[in-house]
Amino acid sequence: MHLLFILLLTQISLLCVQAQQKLCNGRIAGKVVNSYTQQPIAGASVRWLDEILTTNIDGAFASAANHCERFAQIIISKEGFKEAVYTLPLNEEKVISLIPETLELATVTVTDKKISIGKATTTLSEISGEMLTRTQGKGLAESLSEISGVQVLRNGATIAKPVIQGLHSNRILILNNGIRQEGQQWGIDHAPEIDPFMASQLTVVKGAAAVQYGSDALGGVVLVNPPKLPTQAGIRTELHLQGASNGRQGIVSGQLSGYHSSIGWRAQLTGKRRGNIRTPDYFLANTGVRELNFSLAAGYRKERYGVEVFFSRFNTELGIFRGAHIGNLTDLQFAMSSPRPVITSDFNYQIGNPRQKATHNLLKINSYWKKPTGEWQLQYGFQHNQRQEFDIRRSGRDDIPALNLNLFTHTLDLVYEAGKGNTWQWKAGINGMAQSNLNTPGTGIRPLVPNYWVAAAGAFSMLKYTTNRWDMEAGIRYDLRHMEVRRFDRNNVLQRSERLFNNASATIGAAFYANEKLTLRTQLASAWRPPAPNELYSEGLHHGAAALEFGSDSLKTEQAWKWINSVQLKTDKIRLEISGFAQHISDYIYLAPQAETRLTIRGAFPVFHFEQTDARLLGADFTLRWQPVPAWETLFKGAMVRAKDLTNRAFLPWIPPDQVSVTLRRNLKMPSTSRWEGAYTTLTCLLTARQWRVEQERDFAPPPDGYTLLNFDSGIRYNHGRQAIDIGFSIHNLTNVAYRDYMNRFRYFADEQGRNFQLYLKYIL
Amino acid sequence: MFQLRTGLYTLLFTVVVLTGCNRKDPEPENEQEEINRMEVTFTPVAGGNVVTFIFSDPDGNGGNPPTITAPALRARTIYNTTIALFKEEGNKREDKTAEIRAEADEHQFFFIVNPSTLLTHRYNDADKNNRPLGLRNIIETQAAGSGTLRIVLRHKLNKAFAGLSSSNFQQAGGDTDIDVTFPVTVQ
Repeated sequence: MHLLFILLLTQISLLCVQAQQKLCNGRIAGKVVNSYTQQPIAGASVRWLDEILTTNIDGAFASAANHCERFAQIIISKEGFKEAVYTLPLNEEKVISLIPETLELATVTVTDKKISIGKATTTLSEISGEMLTRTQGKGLAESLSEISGVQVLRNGATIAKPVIQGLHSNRILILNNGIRQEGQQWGIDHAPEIDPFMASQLTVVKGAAAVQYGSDALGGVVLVNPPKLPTQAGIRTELHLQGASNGRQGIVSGQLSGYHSSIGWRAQLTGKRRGNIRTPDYFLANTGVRELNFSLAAGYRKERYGVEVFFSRFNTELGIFRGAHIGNLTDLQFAMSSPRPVITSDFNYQIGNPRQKATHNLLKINSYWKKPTGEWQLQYGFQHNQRQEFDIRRSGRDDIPALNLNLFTHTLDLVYEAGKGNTWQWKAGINGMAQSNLNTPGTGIRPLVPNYWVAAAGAFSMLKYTTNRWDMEAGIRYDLRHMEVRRFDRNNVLQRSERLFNNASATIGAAFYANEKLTLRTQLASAWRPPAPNELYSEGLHHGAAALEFGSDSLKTEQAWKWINSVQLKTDKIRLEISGFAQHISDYIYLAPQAETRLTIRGAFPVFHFEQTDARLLGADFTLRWQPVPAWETLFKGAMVRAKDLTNRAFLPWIPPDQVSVTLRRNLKMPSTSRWEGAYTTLTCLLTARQWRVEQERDFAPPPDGYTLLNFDSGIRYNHGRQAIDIGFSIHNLTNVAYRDYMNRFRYFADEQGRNFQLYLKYIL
Repeated sequence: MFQLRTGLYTLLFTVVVLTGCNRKDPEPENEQEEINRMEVTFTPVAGGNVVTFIFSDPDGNGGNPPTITAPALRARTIYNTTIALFKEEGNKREDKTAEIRAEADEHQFFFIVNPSTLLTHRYNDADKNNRPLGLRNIIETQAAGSGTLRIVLRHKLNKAFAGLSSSNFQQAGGDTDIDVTFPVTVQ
């Protein structure tokens, strides 16, 4: 009995000793980020048993290293986000995402004073997260039009181009993953060859941005950025499935990304197919679209240096509405006087002539090298853009393209950035470009634009001064551009010509952070654009436009100055952004109608010459978000542009009419134990005014009436461990109203799309 | 700044020289489909002078106006009327009529007479679906007078369109390949 008792005591003592000798040096640590924007969340509270930690400005938290447990169940919460419960292993740093409760937090606001040089004093707007998922399937221009001040210029239902504060085509710049997108962007019916599913963020810079980017950035810049390569082990999957009723459209887009021994990689693939679009009353013949795109990226990233390779291929074939392929003036007048197109069709996926085929290949290799004093960045890009346009032809030539262009572009950028986070920051760089535009022979038609070779070089320098309340930036740039053209004139004699362009640009801007709520920005910048090949060398029928267009090789460079001001106000219930701009463009190139109507064997055609004038654009746009209670949100957006041809005292054509939209959003709160979250429904009313600022003699028909569109959208998310599914359902043109849009070049011939039901699924693992 | 400019010029020059070596001259395009001359030949059935209307526009879309010649027709005469199409380039004249005939089922000529009492028109050929083409026609002049004859060639139209005639052909769709108006004098 005694022995038993002593044995028991010994055992217990041994156990106690063991317990005391057990290692207790565990700690929990990690980083809390916004699951949509990946931005760190400061001030989030992390609760573990009775301990409460708070995340710092970088979203990081860490407890003391004196815990014995192997796992900890923590509750992370922050105002505006859905509370999350996580089981963390001790002594491992994890990244925890919180899902925002509202739309407001699903987009990035640019008030962080640590904004890098070149972005602090510019007026920027971004689309990412939920807003991007909702609109990605509609194409790049439609996605971007969610931003106030950005509108769309259409050529029927298959071609759309973004318009930033009144300017489009080669007066805005699109950066495809940091590389200047070089396609035949001078064409008003050439849509940018970019897959929006490649991007996780679309940014629009409103302002002349020549200093950083070079020529063409008169109205603004669109930055299409893919997600950063992963830096944590594990394979991440993302799958999009979308279907739309109008045109019976289907899109599948998938993405795989992973990280292994310092190398992050990503593979992405998108396929899209659509048939004939339907207006409320009839089908539009030959408006199908096919697209197949993919991208691959791999990067080796270390603390001090890294290298990344990226390749993307975009491939599309699209039909041009049959009823818009017009011959002469008589045919045009007949088409415009018909209430509906004479060519009817039913639904099919066939794409016949006239049609376009475009392929864009992009290869990018970039590297960075961080030194104590600054960072070097070297970037090489290669692009091959092939564009073929097929017309209605005789004798079995339907499969021979009427236009067959290959554009090859090499770019090399070397940039040095110093003083990040300091009072004075400096950035300087050199950009070089070599480009050749070649017509593939055998079309049997005189080329619309000739063969040319361009070599360009530019150097820039920017300075940023930061204080507590102010950011100030200034920059200068000098560009040289050499162009050689070889073409056959009317007598089939080979002509060679050369031109040298040179240009200096400057920018100056300031941002004033009045308090945490109010930020004011102003920027005055210059930009330039050399005349485009069609503006210099067009000489003939613009097929489908019933017009004879003639270029002039004595056209000079366009020079623009843009002054843009913006106000950003953030309170806990209101988010307001207003921007106003004034722009002057000297030697603005435009198509001037001539007095003559020329007679050819095909009939009579109006004649246009490319001429230069001075133009002035003024405008303003605003976004106001008001959330009186978490369950309700209202969004107001509006934009207006006033453009004038100063020399001829006339209005400029193809300027977007005034637009205002009102959105009412209801956020539905799911029980906190539910796996469903983030449920919402919205109803949007879009009002577009009639564009009466037009010159009757310069247009074929009077502008269409203004219209009102009603759109519905809803979404919800389902979580299951590491997996999540976003489901969305939307209806565009809810009331199936028949309308024509001034900014659609096919408005002479047919109405816009009727009602469209869309369903989208996004699966993340 | 001066050094920068020189530096940039050097860079540019190097690029131009390096890429300049591979620049090849383009090839001229032979515009096989272009038609710029039309001849309408009126041969009286009962014998007599042949009258030829000519529309010629050698510079195509260029600024020189086309040449239109239309000699007078005799009143109350039945003419076998044929159309021939050419592409003229310098001294070369290529006959393009065969291309139209080969795709007869996708083409049709229309004859619009103003005033309508000046001439009557009847098709005298057919495609493989027994629908008219209009390369061969019979035109009968009425009383003396003057007016216009507009000849339109439509491509990829709907030839089965109900009631297709010279007054409603635009509703049958298709593209206009030729739209020429001749002044007509009947004496």
